[in-house]
Amino acid sequence: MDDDLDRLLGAPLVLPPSGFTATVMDRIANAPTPVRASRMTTMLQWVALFGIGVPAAAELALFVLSVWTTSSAG
Amino acid sequence: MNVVTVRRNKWRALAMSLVLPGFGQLYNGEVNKAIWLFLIFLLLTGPGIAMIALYLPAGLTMPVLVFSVVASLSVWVWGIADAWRGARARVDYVPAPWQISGLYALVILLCGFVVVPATVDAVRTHEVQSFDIASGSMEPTLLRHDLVFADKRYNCVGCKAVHRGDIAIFTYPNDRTQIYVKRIIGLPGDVITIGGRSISVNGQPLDMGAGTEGIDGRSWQVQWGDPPAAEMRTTVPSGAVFVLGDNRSNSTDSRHFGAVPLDDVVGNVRQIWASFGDGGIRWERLGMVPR
Repeated sequence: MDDDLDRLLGAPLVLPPSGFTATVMDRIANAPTPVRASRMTTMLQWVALFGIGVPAAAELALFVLSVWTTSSAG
Repeated sequence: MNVVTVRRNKWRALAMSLVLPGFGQLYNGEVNKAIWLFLIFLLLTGPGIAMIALYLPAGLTMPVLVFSVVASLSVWVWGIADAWRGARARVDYVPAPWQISGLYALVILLCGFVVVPATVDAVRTHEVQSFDIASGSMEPTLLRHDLVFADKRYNCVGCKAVHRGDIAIFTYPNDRTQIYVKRIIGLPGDVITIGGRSISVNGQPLDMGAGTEGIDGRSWQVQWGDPPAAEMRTTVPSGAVFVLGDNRSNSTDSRHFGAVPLDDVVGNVRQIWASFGDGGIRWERLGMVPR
């Protein structure tokens, strides 16, 4: 037990491979940046939102006034 | 771990809340608030308030339903403002995995185009519906272009039963695309006798003098013109009711098309909420409960 410990303590320290720091920094620099929606995608999202949204909002307004919407009774 | 944060777009949150209450909160990641906001809006606008209105006296129908509109609009506007504020505060927001455009599309299609229309239909079919009186056949009780609320919890299982003297809304038997409004005079099995201007039900005359008729402790005004009604005697068949317009000389009713099947009686007039004459709005009729 003591021999093992002595041998471990006597061994040279673990050294990083050569160029380690440069490799890490290089990988960070080349890491993919988060994908951002393109201008076209953003625009299409807004068009979709309003395309569905306008009729949905109109329907919602009709919903609020639904019991006031009359049918004809003779 | 590399965490990607984004800024929530306050305009998008506002637009989404405008489309559907709670939708902007969903975009902001406040799922619980989104669900409750939508449910409160739904109940305030439709079934919840309409049901309360029907349990209160008829004269309170219009005020309660006005409150419903104000309350639901308030919830809607508050939701828009809250979504705007919430998005503005989320500068370093970490989107949840479910926050994808497909899910938003599903929510808007489900809530906006299924849940809301189904609720509207349920309220109008089973709770309250508004009618525009298109003829003068019920004058002087209902004038042409009186707008009335009708109780649709009428003549169904667990609903208010049909009584003599009720002002009923029913499907016109000879053209099922048309809705008529008349007063129920005879119930199944009643013997109706009409002779000139005298009407009796099971031998009991309705005439109380001075243009008033009544039965079963209820009374209403009628008007007769010329010519007087033809004489007739009929027994109301089972499962049907005998209806007359209060404007006796200017009404197409059971004297012409026979008894109306009870299944076709769908509502009972509750309150006048607006009235339009040649001279504009007839303010004095607003809120009136027709007897």
